[in-house]
Amino acid sequence: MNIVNAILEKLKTMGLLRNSNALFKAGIIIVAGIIILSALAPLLTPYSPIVGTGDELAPPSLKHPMGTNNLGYDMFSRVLYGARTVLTVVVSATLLSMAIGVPLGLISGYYGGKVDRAISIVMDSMYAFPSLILALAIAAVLGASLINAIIAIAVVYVPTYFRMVRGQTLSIKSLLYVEAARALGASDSRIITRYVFPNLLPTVLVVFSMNIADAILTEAGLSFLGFSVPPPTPDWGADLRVGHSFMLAGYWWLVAFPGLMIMLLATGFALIGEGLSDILNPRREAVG
Amino acid sequence: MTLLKINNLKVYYYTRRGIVKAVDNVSLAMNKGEMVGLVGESGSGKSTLGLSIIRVLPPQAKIISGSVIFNGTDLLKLSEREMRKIRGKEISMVFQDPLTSLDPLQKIGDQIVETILEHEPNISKQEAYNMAKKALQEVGIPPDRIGNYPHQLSGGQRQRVMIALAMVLKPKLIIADEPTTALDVIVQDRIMELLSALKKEYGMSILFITHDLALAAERSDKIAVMYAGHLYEYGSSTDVVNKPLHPYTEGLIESIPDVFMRKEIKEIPGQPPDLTKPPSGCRFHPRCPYRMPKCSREEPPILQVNGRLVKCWLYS
Amino acid sequence: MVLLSVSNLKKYFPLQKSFIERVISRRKQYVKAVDGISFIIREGEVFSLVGESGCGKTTTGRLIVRLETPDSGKIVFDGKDITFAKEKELRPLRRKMQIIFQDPYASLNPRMTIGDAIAEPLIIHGIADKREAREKALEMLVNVGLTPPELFYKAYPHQLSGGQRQRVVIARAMILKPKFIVADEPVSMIDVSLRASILKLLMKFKKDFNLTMLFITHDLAVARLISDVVAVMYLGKIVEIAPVDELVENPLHPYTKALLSSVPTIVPQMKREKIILKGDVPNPINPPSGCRLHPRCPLAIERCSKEEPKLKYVGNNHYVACHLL
Repeated sequence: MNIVNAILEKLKTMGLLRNSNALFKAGIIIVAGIIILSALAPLLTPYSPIVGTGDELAPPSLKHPMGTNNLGYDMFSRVLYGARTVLTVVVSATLLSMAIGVPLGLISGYYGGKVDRAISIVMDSMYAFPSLILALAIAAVLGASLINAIIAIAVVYVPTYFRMVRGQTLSIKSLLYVEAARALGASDSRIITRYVFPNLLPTVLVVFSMNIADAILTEAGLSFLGFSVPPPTPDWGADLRVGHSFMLAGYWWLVAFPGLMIMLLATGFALIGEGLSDILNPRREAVG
Repeated sequence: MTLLKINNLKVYYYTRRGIVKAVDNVSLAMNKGEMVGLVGESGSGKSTLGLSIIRVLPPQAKIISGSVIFNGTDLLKLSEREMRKIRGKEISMVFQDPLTSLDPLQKIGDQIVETILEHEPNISKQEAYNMAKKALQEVGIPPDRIGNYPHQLSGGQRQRVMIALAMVLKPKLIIADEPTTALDVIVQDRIMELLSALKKEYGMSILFITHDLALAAERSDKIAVMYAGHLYEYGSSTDVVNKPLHPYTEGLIESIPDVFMRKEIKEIPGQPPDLTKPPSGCRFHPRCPYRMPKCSREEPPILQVNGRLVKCWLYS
Repeated sequence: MVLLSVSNLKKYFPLQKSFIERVISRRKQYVKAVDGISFIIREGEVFSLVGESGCGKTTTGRLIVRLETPDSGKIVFDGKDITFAKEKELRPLRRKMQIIFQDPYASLNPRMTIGDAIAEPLIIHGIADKREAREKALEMLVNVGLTPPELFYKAYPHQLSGGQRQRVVIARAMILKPKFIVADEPVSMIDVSLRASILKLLMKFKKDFNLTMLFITHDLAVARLISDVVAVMYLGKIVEIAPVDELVENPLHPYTKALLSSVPTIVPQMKREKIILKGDVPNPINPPSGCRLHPRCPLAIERCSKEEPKLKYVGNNHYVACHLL
């Protein structure tokens, strides 16, 4: 995440991404590009990602644009199909944590009191763990599978949504239009769904895309350590793990391409998040 | 004797939405020792006009053309350094919100001393301190308050300090931009009393910028009415209020209730225009009850009618 | 017939103190926002509460529509004691009483269209289904002068001007045809040339619906225009109540006189003797003893600092709280 932010900052200072729209567009192009490539994978490559070609540790060539690995799997296929795995895990996990964190934050922030304190303590203690370590612990307990990876990552990001939504709810709650709704006779549930939630939705969207970027790195970490999808399912993190033992022997393509994809996809989502946050909260220009 | 003469001044704002013609070809003359009430709604350009005189406009604003002749010199031709000598000494300004214009970390007395020393390096610190004390006394701040910080004072007292700061070097002109808008009516009355007293005592001229026509009428010698970047009427307060010539002035007077008069109020139909696309001809024509075909085609000239200036085709 | 009666209403707000202050002194301090006020509003009447900022007029309005809970006293609205009514009990009553706030922009949900905002009360109270509510909201838009209504229905608050937004707020408050409305400085944030139209709109609804109104304002000129009865507040207390013409022509309390002699007017010859109050409004945390005006009042006698004056009837429906009368 820090690396991604650093790159964003660098790009901004270089003046390459001057305005928010450019950020957003760049992000969309990267993400959409990867999604399209992975969807079209069967058309783009003749090889299956989980069947050996018989050609082991072949360097990149016209036949194998990204080379092959120690089992003779075509790396290009694995990178393309791997995107499907990564996107499935990461998007479902983030959606799941959003589905838990947002309502909790709304309830906590709106009603306050004991409920709020109880939820906050749980969330804060979860937030205190570094995300990868927490995810690892959960995945280790649940075992390595696609579903468990989703759950492990989802749990990690619930506090992010909770804290943001709770904070926003607290401030929106004190605004005049919420008071006006109360004066109209609106019930609590109506105020939450019609007045509070729509006004924090933009921030949720920003956090959503930022979180995906972060979750991509967490997922990569999980599978690098063997706690995500079991082999031979194509997955960038898993490929990194396989590749890193061959790296010193000079088989750089085993690590370079999956690693590059992780960076690229995470940057793409981070760009979308940055762009969205600028687009949704434009600094108003004062006219005298 | 004319102290200030603004000629054909144009000030535009360059914004993302387009060019806002905030002050468009405005001319205004002010005599020595006179209080002129510059009346207009928000967006009429009245504050921009005030800020242009001492050239402290926001960065997106630009003075396009015109001149501001103060005491014989064109302020728009002066360098920033020369202008700095004029600000605070010859012309000073009082803003709506004294809390943002006063330094919160500095005692009020020290702020006044600093202003004095900046303009009068020959004055000793002790002398400056005495001057500050006297100025505060004159605006009605008890001398034991001189060591107070702004937050220890009430809103009305802060505005008095601002006025002390503005008048301590006895400038020839004070521009007061909505000086009482943030204050309650009783405090407002006393601040206005104070400004009137300064005018009488030292013969200072005061350009009093306000949205409140009644307040301006009560205290000023003359009233200038601005609307959508144009100056539409300028004349003695009693004349303007008792027999408004311009339809906008008339509409404004008819639309405001008065505590001492049971009267019907009449609204001015429509909305003030968007100044990135001001109406053609007379900018008031879409809302004017007396509009003629000519009004939308041609901008009316400024006419002299019974010792008053009015920009309206009705009088040509 | 009396629609609203308020007696001995009090609301003190605890003062936020820093940690160190709390350690040093245990004593809680309060801002006495509303300190024992009583008045009645008759059906069809416009009752104005006038006073300077911090006098407690806004808090009074919020207490009456029960956005705030009083500390003590009694509020009887339409024959029902609502002083300590729970939010659930209040909800059906909110159909009959509405509030219009000073800042129209802040009182509208930025993510709800104008039309939905106006239709909202009908849906909240289950009065109309979506289609009917839409029809009525469109009708209401025409009523408040926002035409063509179809265009405004789909607009968002930020696309409207201040005056237009206040029309929307008024439309939303009026769509339930309430009996009673609290209007808290409804024109003080509106441009001068548009104020008249908003005031006229309120007066039109008042006439059409036989509306009763509590009008809160700092502006005596507006109060003169719109009200039947005016109550003047100072530091949490009502100092004078009278029919508006009586109050302006025959003010009796020194504070009212001071206010009236400070109001700007275009007929200055009508101004009365000038009463100059000493100093500024004191802190409402420790208000002066006796009559709260006494440290500033040029006419104060010894009794004023010791004994609190009660509202006294002086004829012509005129009540004054002053020892000098």
